[in-house]
Amino acid sequence: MRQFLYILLKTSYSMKTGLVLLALLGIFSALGTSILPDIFYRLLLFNLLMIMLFINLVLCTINRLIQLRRQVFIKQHNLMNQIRQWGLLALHIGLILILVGGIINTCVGQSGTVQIAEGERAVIAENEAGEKISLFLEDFEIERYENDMPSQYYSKVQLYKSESLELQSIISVNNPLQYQGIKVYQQSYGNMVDVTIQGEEKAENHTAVEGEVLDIPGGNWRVKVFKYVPDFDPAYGMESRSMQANNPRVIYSVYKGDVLLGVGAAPFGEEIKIDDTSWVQFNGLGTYSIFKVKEDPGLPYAGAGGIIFMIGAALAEISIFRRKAENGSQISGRRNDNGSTD
Amino acid sequence: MGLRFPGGGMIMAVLIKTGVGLALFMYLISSVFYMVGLKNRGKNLLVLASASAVIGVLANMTALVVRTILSGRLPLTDGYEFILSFTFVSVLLYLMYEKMSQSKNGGAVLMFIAALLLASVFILMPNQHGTVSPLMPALKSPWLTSHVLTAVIAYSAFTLGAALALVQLMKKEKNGDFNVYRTVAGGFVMLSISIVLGGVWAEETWGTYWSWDPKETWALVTWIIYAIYLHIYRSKGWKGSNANLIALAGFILVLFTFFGVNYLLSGLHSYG
Ligand code: HEM
Repeated sequence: MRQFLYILLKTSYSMKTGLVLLALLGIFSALGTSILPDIFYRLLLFNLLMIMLFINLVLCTINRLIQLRRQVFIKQHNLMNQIRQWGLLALHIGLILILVGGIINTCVGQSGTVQIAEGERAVIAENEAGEKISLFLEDFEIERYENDMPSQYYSKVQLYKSESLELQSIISVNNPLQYQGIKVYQQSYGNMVDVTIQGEEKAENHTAVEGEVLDIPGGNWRVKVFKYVPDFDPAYGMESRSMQANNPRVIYSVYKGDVLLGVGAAPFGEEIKIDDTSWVQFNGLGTYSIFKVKEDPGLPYAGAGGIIFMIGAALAEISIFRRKAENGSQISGRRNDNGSTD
Repeated sequence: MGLRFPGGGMIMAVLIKTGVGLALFMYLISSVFYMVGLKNRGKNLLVLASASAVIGVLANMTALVVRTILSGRLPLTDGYEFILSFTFVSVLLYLMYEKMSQSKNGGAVLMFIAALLLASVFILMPNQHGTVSPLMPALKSPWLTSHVLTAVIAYSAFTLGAALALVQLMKKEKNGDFNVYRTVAGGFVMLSISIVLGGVWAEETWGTYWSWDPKETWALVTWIIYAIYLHIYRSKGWKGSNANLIALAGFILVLFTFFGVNYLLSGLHSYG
């Protein structure tokens, strides 16, 4: 039994085990891109593999640390070799920290998307004290290149904690808002159309996002606000000829129950007659901004790990390039590497 | 920019195309010169081989410089520019290696790979020499530029490593693979930095530093195979040709990560 535990321990931190696990991780990752790409990396088997690799890495690094302490006492004089040893240690510790960050994120990290219309406010998170964090979208703008392709999206926002204004900021792609561990990213945007619908008895006003279906009161007519097109041209179908609002139209479709009766492209301010008593009118356009909101308490670990790992890798390998200078010989195709004995 | 100098864009497009074509041609004949020269120990042929490589790399550089002027940004943003930079740095690294080691053994293979890579530009993207599309918002990040630059250097080092490994395998040399190890180790450091920088970019742009998209995943697989190479390079039974085989397999993964993922699988990176 003792023997068994001893072997188990030895195996658990051996480099061989680590390499086998690493190879398996590589093979499974590669398979994952073609098999079940959406859920593969969340499968128990895959995560088990990661955890085993993590444990192996931790144990072998502790083992190395102990060995390195001994070496320091013995006093190594070869500076390059010392740099290599510390670099290797940093490299493996960095990897461990990256995995720690990932594990924390998987366990307690959160993320989601929030849509906020111009002039509106939405709750994006709640802090430990139970206070609601909300975001008010003052303005949303798209900056474009000469050929109309978007070059940047800007959301001018105010962030509130309960009712108190905490900060104002402009969120754009590559420039998220950060507040007490919460990060808010510009993800996308969408159009909204102000609609008036007149049924048999009463009229209603709505703000519909693209694709939304509205019921006309008192009948079983339904109207789908399909898409806003800034520069409508029948030759282009549902695509806009340009991004300038030269001929703004709203593409809509009318249903009776589930049966599609027709599709049209209406300008703003025009009544679309549906029957003697019912009509629909598109009044104006608004935009909403789509944000990704996330909280990842593991990020500082992963970030620190990334830095330590990069520096460690560079330090570990620098000695290989210095070896030429050390023994004054030229690199040649035939030289044997005898500079390292572990 | 082409708009501000009517006709200027056209001239630059022609310059780029000519530069790439000339580089391709020079790489190809350089490869032939190396091959024949190495076989027959022809000193003059080998000098010609190196000279052709130098002319080729200058033409390659010219194409990159003109492309930079045309687009107004570093040539590191799409698949076309990546290949141009990739071949340029590969040949540059090889020439540096040749100068330092005084060995021309890897020349034939490396120059042939460089020629194939440039040929892929003419096959896969024949009309892109002068086409510069504006960057979508997500791509406008200094993190992305440094991520791609380090990836280019890493891939180039792996290419050189694979060329040297292949030569050793063909010569059945058992103990000269320190140079392969050295190049691969350098490439590994660069790939590591590149992956971390890519993570920083993704974190700033998409809000996740790692999302298992195909490009990321295959970069990880590439990184893993080189990590395995570095670990077992020193162990008994691996040091000779077996380790070289892993370096070659790694290079095939590098190519797949670029061509396979970009043109067969799709994901976040499919624009490039
Ligand atoms: C999983 C368990 C692992 C163990 C037990 C382990 C163990 C070791 C050991 C003992 C060395 C020292 C080799 C020497 O001094 O010659 C080493 C070096 C190294 N390790 Fe790991 N390692 C593991 C995982 C990793 C991973 C995941 C990576 C990252 C890809 C990595 C990257 C490296 C690198 C780059 C070196 C330097 C290799 C060289 O230049 O010779 N290791 N590892």
